[in-house]
Amino acid sequence: MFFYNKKVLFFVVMALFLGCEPENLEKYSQFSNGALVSLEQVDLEHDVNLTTNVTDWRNEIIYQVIIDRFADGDPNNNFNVNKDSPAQFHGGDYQGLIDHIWYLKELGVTTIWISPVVQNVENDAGFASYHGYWTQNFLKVNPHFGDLAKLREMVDILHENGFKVILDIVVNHIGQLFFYDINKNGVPDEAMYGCGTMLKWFPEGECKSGFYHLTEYDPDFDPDGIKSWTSLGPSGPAPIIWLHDPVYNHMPIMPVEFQNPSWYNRKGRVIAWDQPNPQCFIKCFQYGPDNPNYQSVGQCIDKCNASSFSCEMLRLQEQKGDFPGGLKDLDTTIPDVRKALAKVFKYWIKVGDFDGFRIDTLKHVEGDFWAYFCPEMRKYAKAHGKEKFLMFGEAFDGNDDLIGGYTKEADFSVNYCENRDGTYSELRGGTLDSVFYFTQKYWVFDGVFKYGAPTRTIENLFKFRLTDDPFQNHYGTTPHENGIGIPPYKALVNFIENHDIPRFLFDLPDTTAQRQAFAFLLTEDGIPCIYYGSEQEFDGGNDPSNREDMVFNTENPTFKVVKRLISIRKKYDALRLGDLVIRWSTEHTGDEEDAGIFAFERLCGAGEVKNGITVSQWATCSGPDVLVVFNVNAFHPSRTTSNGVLMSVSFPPGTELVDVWQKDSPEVFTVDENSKLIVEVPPRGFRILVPKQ
Amino acid sequence: MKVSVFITAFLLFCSNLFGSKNEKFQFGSYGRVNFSSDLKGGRGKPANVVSHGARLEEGNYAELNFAYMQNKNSNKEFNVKTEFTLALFDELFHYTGDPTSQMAIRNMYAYAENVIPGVLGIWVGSRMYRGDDIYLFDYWPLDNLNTLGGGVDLFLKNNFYVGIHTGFNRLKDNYFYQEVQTSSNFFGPARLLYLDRQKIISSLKLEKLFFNINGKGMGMKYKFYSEFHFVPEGVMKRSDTFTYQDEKLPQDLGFLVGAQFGMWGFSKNSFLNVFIKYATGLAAYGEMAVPFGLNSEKKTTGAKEFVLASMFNYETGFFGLMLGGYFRYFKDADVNEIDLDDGWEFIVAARPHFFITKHFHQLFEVSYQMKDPFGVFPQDGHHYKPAVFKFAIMPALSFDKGTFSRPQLRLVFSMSYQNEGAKQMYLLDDERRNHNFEFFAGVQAEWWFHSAYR
Repeated sequence: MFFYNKKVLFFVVMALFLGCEPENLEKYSQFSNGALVSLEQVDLEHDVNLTTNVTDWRNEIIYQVIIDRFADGDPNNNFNVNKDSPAQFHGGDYQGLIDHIWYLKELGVTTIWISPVVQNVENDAGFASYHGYWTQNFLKVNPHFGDLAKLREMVDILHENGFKVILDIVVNHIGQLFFYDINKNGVPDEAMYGCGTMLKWFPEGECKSGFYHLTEYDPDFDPDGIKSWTSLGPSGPAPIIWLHDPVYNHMPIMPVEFQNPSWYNRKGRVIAWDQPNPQCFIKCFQYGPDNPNYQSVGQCIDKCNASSFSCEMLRLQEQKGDFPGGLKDLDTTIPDVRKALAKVFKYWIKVGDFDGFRIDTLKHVEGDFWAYFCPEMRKYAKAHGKEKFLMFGEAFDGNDDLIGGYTKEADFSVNYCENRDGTYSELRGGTLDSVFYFTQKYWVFDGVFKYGAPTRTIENLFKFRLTDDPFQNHYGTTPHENGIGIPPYKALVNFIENHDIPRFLFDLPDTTAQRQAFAFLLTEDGIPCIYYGSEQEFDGGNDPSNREDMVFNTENPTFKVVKRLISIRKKYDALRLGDLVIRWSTEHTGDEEDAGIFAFERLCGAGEVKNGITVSQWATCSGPDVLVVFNVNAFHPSRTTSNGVLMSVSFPPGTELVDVWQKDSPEVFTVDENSKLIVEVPPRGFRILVPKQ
Repeated sequence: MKVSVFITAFLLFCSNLFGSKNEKFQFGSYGRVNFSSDLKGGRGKPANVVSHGARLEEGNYAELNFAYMQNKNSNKEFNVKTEFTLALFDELFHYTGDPTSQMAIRNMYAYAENVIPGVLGIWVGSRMYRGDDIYLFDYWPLDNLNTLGGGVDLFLKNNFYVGIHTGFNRLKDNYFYQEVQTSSNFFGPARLLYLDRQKIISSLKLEKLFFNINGKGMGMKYKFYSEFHFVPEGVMKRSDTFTYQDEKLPQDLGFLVGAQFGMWGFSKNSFLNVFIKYATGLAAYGEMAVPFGLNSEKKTTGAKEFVLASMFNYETGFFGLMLGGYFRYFKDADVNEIDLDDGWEFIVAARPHFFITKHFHQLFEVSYQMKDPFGVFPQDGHHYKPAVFKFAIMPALSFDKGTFSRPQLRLVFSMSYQNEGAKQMYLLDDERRNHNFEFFAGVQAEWWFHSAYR
C-alpha cells in the first residue's frame, strides 16, 4: 500500500511538475484537411464555436487599435522591429493587448477593432507592413503579432471581459506581389527616362525629353489594361509575373486560387481621385509653351477643366485600379473571386469568433459585390450561432450620398455620381450595416469643431440621415436580413480621427476643442469609434505619424474626460439608443448671442409623441431623455436664443434639467411654460442636461 | 582549412612515427560514412520528428583524435596528456566536388594526471566533457558539455569520484556576440566588437561506483549531476533595422540537476543506464543553444526541461539487443501557453542483433517516436502530434561479435511511416509532406578506436 501510494505520489508530482497540454489547445486547434494552400482545404463546418455577444450595437463604443503600435507583450515575435521609425514594425502583438485589457476597461470602451491579421508582404519600398493591409496569404495569421491560437486566445479573453472584437479586412486588393512585365524581359524594371527638366526654361535645342518615370511594379492606370511595349511598339497585354522573395515575403499570393492572373484587373494604379484631375494641371505647367497639344498654358487648363476624368473614369479607376503602393486590385466582378473571398472571410469568422468586420477600401469595390458578400457573411455567422454580426466599411469620401449608398439594398438605386451631361454613372448598393461617417468627420469634426464653421452645417448634413424617408435618407432605413437588427442610419460609425488622417490635435492643438469633439462623439446617435491614443492627446500628422506607440497614462486629463463621457453615455440609455432631434443650430459664428450653439435631444420611448415629435420605433429605451448643448465658439459664452427666439424642447414645462457633466454644483435649467429653454454654454463648452430626479 | 589539413597530416605522421616506439602518441577515431538513396533518385534523408531521433540515417562524420602522453610508463606518476580532436562534417569532396570541408576542433586540452597521485587530475582547454550516451539516438541525455574551460577530477576513496568544471562559450549569435562596422580612427570602416558576453557554465559530478558486487563482475554506479549557467547583461544592435537600434539584453541564469543509475556486467557486455534530468532557465536550452521563447523581460526564467532516458544492452553468444528510449518535456519562458515550442516528445527503439557468424551479423531496428507540441501549426491552425514508426533491416560485417563491435560495415534499408503531423513538419514546398513513407537504402561503415570522447 505504501509503495502504491508512493507511485501515486510520484505521478501526481510529475503531472504537476510537467504540466499537461494547455487547457485550450484542442479548442484552438482547427479542423484541418491539410495545410491551407488551397481553398478546397478550408473547412467551414467542423469545429465551429461561435457566440453572439451583442444585443444592440448602439450600446457599443468602438476602440480602434493598430496591434503593432499598441503594446509589445511578447518579444519573441519582434522581427524587423525598429521603433525609431514610424514606418517600421514596433513590436506590438496580441499578447500586448491581452496585457492591457485593464486599460480598456478603465477607459470604458466596449468593442475593440483590431488591425488586419493576415500575413502580409513584409516590407515594400522601405515601408513595413505593420498596419496589416498588404495581404500575402489570406489564410495565414501574421507572425509578427502571434499565432492563430494567440489571436483566438485574445478574442476569447476580450469576450470574457465583456468586449466585442471587430476584425479589419481587405478584399479590394492584395499586397505588391506581382509586376507587369511591360517590356517582356521577365524582370521588374524601374526606369526613368528623359532629362527631367522643365523645358520652358531651356533654350531651343536643349533637352526636350521631359521626365518620365515608369515602374513595372506600379504603372499608371490604363482603362484598357496595362500594355506591353517593346522597342518596336505595342505588344499586347502585359503579362504579370509573381515575385519570389521570401526575405520580404514577396511571394505568390495564397491560397493558390488567387494566383490566377485573370482574377486581377491589371489596369495599373489609380492616378486621380477627384475631379478635375490634378495631374492634368501639373502637366500643363510642366510642359508650358512647349506642350505640343496646346497653344498655351491657359488653353491646357481649359482642356483640363473640360476633359478631366469623367465621373465614370474616376469610378473606373477607383474600382479597377491598383491601390497606391502597387496593391494589386482583385476583379471582384468575377463570380469565382467573390466566392473565394467569401470563403476566406467565413474562415476568419470561424477561427476568430469575431463579432464584426471593418471593411477597408469600400468604394474601390463594386457595390454589387457587397450585396453578395455581406449576406453571405451574415448567413454563415448566424447559421453557426453568431447573430448581429456587424459589417461596416470605409468609404473614404466626402460625398454623403455615395458613402450612404453602401448601406442600402443592392436593388435600391443610389445615383451618386452626376456627370456633366446630366447622366448618372452607376447604380450602387451594398447592404452594409453601417459605414464610417466620413462626411461628419469632414463637415462636423473638422469644419465645425476644429475650424469654427456654423453649426447649421451639422443640421444640413444630418438632415440626410435623420429622416425616415428612404428616398431622402442617404443611408439605409431598414435593417438588413440577418443583420444587426437596426437600420444603418441609426448605426453609423462616428469618428473624430483614424489611422488614415491626421490627428485632431495635429490640425488644431487645442485639447479643449478636442474634448468638446469627444463630447459630441459620445452624445450623438450612432456608434462612437475612438482611435487609440486620442485620449492620450496624440497629435501625429499624416500616416505614418498618426500611428504612434501607445501610452497608458490614466492620469492624462483627456483620458479622464473621455472616461467620464463614456460613463455618462453608459448611464443614460437615451444617449445610446434614443432618437436624435436637433433643437438648435445657427449660421452665427461671430459676436451673436447664439454663435456656435448646437443643441440636440436624445429621446426615448418608441412611438411616443413629444412636443409634436413622434419617437421612432428604434428608440428602444425607456429612461430619461437627454438634452445636449454645445458652444463651439471659442471666444464668448453663447445661449440657445437669437433675436428673441428661444429653443424649444420636448420636456414638459417646469422640468428642471441638471448638467450632469458638471461634477461640482451642477447648474440647473428650468423649462418654461411654453417648453422653451435658454441654456448658456461657456466658450468651447458643452452641457449634458437630464431631468432632475 | 589548409592549415588544419596540414596539422592533421602532420599529427598522423607523428602518430605513426612515434606511437609505435614509446606509446607516447596515440591516434584514435570515431567515424561513420555512408552512401544512400531515398529511392526517388536523391540521397537518403533522415525522417525524425523528435530532437534526438534514430541515428540510422545520420550523415557522414569523423573525429580524428590525437593524444600525446608525457609519461606513459606509470599510472601513478604525474603525467600530462594533451588531447586534440579534429571533427569533419558531412561535406565530402568525392561527393560534392567542392574541396572545402567543414571542420571543428572538438578537443584541444591538456590533462594533468596524478597532481596528487591517484587523487587529483586537472584539465584546461576546449573539451567535450561527457558522460554516458544513448547510442541508438546519438544522444547524451545528462552530462554533455562543450566548453572552453577547465576542471578538476577528484578520485576519492571507495571509488567515489568528484568532477568539477567551469567553462565558457560565446556562440556566434547576436545574443552573445556581435561585431558591427564603425568608423576607424583614421579613415574608412573598422569592425567593432559591440557585444561580447560569455556564457559561464559550471558543473558538478558526484559519482559512486561499485565493482563486482555479485562476485561475477557485475558493477553499478550512482551519479548526481548539476550545472549552473550564467550570462551577464549586454547590449546588442538590432541588425534587422536600418538604424541599428540598441537592444538591452539582461543577465540570465539557469540550473540543472540530474542523476544517473548504471549497472553493467550482468552478462557479457551488458549494461543499463537510467537518466533523469531537470533543467530550468538558461540551462533548459543546453549549453550550445541560443535561448528562444524568452519572457517579457527577455530572460529565460520559467523555461524548463525534463528528461527521463534509458539505454540497455544485452548480449548472449548469438544474440544481442540494444534498447533505448527517452521522454523529454520542454517549455520555453514566454507567456504563450499554446506554443509550438512547448511540449513533450519520446522515442523508443530496439535493435536486435543476430550474430550469424563471428563477422556476419543480421541487425534489425524498430523504433517509434512521437511529439506533442503544445501549439497549432501555422499552415492550417491544427494541433498535430507528429509521429514516425521506423523499421530497418541491416545485414552487417563486424570485426567481432557484439553489439558495439566496430568497425562495422552494413547495408541499411529503413522504412519510415510518417503520420499526418510528421508530414506537416516539412516545409510547404517540400514534396516529402505528400508521402506517408520515406525510405533510406544505404551502405554504411562505422568505426571507433582509441576514441577520446569524454
